[in-house]
Amino acid sequence: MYEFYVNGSLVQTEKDLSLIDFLREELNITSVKNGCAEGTCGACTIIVDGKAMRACVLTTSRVNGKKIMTIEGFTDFEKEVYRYSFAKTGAVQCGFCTPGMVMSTKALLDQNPHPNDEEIKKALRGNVCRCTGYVKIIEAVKLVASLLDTGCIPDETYTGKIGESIPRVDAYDKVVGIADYVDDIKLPGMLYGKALRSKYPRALVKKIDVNKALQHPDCVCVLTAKDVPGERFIGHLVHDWPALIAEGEETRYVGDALALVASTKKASLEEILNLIDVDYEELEPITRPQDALKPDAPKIHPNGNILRIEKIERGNVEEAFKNAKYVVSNHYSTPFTEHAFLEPESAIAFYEGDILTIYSGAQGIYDEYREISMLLGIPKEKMRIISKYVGGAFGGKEDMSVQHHAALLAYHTKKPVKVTLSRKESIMVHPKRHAMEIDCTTACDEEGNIIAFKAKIVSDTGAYASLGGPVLQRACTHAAGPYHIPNVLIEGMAVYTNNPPAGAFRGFGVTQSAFAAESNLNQLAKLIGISPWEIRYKNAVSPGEVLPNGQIASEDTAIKETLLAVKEEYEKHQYVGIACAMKNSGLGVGVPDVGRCKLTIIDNKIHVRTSAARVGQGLTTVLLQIVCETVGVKPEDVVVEHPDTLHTPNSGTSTASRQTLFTGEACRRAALELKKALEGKTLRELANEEFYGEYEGITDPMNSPKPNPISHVAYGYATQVVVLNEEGKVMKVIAAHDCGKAINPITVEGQIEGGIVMGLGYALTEDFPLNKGVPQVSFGKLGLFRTTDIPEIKSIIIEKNNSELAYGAKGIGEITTIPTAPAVQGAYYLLDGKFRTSLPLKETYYKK
Amino acid sequence: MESIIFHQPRYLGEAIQLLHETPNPALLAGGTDLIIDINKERKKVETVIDLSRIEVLKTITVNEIEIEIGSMVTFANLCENPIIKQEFFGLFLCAKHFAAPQIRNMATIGGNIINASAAADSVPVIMSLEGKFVFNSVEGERIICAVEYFSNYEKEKIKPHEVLTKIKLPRKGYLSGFYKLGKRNSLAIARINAAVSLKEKEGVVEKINIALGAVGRYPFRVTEIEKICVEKPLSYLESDEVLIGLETAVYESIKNRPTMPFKKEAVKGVYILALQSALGGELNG
Repeated sequence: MYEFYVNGSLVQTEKDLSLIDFLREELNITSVKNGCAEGTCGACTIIVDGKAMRACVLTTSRVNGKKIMTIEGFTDFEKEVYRYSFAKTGAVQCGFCTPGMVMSTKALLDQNPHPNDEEIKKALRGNVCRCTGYVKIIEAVKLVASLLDTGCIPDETYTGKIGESIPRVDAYDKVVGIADYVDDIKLPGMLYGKALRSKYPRALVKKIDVNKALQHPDCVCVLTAKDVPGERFIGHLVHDWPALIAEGEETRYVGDALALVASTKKASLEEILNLIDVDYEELEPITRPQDALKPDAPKIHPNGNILRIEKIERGNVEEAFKNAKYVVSNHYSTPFTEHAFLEPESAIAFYEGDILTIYSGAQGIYDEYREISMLLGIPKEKMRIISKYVGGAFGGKEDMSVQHHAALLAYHTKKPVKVTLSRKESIMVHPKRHAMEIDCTTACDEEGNIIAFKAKIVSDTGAYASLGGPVLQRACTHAAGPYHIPNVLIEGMAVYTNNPPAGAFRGFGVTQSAFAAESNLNQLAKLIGISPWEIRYKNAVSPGEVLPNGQIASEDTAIKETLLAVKEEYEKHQYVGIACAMKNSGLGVGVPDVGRCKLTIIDNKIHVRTSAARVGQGLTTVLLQIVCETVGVKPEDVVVEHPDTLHTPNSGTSTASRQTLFTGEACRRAALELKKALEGKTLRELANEEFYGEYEGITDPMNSPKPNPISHVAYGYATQVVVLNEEGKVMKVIAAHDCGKAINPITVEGQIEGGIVMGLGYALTEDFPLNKGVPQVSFGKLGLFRTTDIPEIKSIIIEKNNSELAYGAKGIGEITTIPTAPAVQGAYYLLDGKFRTSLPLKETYYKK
Repeated sequence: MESIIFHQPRYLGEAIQLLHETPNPALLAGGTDLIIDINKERKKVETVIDLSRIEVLKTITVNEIEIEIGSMVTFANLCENPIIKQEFFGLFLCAKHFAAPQIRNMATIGGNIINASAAADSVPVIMSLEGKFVFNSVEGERIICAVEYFSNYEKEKIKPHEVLTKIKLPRKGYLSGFYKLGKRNSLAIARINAAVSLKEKEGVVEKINIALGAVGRYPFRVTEIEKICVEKPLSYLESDEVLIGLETAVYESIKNRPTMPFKKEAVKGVYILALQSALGGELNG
């Protein structure tokens, strides 16, 4: 018998369990989040006898006789202080790390009520946040410390108008851990599901024997490929990804699922899986695109190993190279990158009558609607997808990971089934950022005017297509950057291998191609003898000029403004690097792309209904502000509902930095309708009425015959400057971002800070080594930046968009990560003269 | 006895909010007076806010210009602090001779000040050391000199929604001393006490602050006498002029009280002993 106190109450148990499971499963204390269960992410931080500790590395026996505190044990005053402080400073994005941050903060402040920045960073070093870049969390801690002393929690009211930094509406629940993520939910009679993963990246599955597993007393069912009632091969775009590998089929990567188990007990899942016998014939995996392209290479998919080829050609590069004064040519390599969102994938499927309902936390409920309907062969009317809070995504939750498996298990058992990935599975299963090999040549005249750009990009798209096609396309369309270059030739190829699949990841291919193109500019500037700032300013596009993809830069184009905004800081420091970027808002290139939003009046409040996923980027608050601004109501009059296929219209995936613009504009249009109807009326008189808004971005397809096709409805622009000290440590980053119009400036800053820190990780510390297709990293070894690693970050927001679309807002989500790595590369080039061409950069302060 | 609502806030801010929301709360700052008053039903209390768990009130922090003593610092804590012993010897002496050890472990400097007893030991010392009180409330921070606080007590006294959080003493390098005369040494409530802080240069007085306690409704400084001591040799401090001045001050303060004849004589000896403790170390037994 173990006895301990939890939030002041005596708890007794016979079981020697992992403490995180005991707290979450037995006591329903779900503020303690399970981010890694490896003791490295800090999301499960609790206080044990006054010290911050991780619940996942403790057991009920080890805390025998001790006193445990979680947020549930806070006084109302403390909860209010933390809520106010974290919301006010913008310290909450996806919110999954937040309760852990709060606990570490409490442990610190109880010991040291007035910590300085260094002490705060040290105390929070064990808590990983992938969204915020930590800057605002540190501010929040300082505000907490001050309010705990003064007790003066301001009673603030907001207008909700555009441009006001109102605290995020979802922050309050996230801070005290009462915001439900899927894994926090338990349904009566719920079963637990888990997939058996392939032992080898590439192997012939000869036989799967499930008989022993079925004998296990807790086993409810074991499903294999033959139990899939509909299309076994599904996928976001290309239907090449089997939900389960069949007997007689070859596995394509180590995350492939061979069988699905449902158990009455979560703890028995592993045991049951171990009872499944698989007869494999191990085969040599293909782990490099060049091997996959060999004529005699085994075909990973029936159509061969090439997923996609892209070519963009304008002018005549070869001719231009002949006439150029300076030409630089380099080969660049970029690695796979893990998203490391804090919340591992989780889904629950269950029947409401004859409707199969799925709780999910991904990037677009209509993607799940489409893919699961295909998989099960049931009509969409018999399905409902509801999104719960999403603990970060960054592109890594666009594909099916657990939703389809939970659905299949519920379909067969007719019982609620939860499937949650362990961190290890998450790292193994979901698509990564593409590793790319890039040959890149840039040429200019005597004065530094770029006259030609050529690139050849080969991306390793791993086992399945995922978003590999569009990622390659964006890598190509954006490779030449925000410059006017008359001659451009970009060729790209996405190749299947037996590595984990690669797909969407913040920056969507442009992080990779911009690293190559921008690094080339650093070398070119040195050859010419002008500064890296000058070569960029000289070539940056102005409104009316032609972008490398042929599109005419629109009036809102503010790349030059971003360059001017950082100029003073750039000139002030010694070891500086600089890079620019452009990034589209919206899918573009002729792909149908629609934002939809419905406003429904319920109980005198305006309910905003749209399927657009809130992955921590702040869309909920953006939509609320658009309604407040347009209709002239107050924030308390507006309720933004969770995405739910029953109520919310399809607004596409949260991808391509599109939601603020697309769903924002749809919301504005719906709000205009409501405003008209409200003339001379009150909300009460409009009870239950609905107002609908839709916005479709019309663009021209790739390789359109038009001389100046419109590839995207909007582009954001940015310049970032990275400052190193003499040892090569990043001391400061100055980032100027053209986001058109900041609907909520503190949220935009949060995107910039978080994007930069992610970009610094990409540049310096993050890697995803594979051994014959098998990931070699745990969460703790990913190289994620922690609080003590971050530099000072100065965000500059450039607003120069008079468009009425979404009040002029353009996407900010992805572009923040793009210029960082080449800016660091440039700073190191200046510091030690070494021109580095692969990521993460070698021989730096961070990596020997 | 009726039931009492008891709050034990963990943070100062929480206490401030409680003070803001609660009508007529009693602040528990050690309890060596309050608990006795409640037990003997001398005081009717509905709500008690115990300050003992608020860490920031229990700390002593030092910077270059001043020392900040949290209001919940006990007299025992004061005795143990090396900077107080070195630079604020009068306060050290006051703490050392404050009541019995059991009381010293519980009684706090803030409680001693706020009870505002005429005989509060710490007040004359704080006055002589040019100390300031810091009060906090939902309206923010109020800082006031100890002398000003007591000379204008009805106006300046602690408000129902305020809490005394800190006592600030400037680090001016004063020699300081303290003596109290009680019926039975330190266990007793002082019948009369004196605190002296001074600065001298080559035997000449540059500055002196003399504060007297238990010779009036509240302790006070004898500024007229302080002024005439400046730029005089140290020996002048024990001169008849000074001693007669003190006698007069006490007479003026309590001329209608039966203890006046005794106290106007006693003040002279108490002052001399306080002065000597400042100049030469401890004299008290």
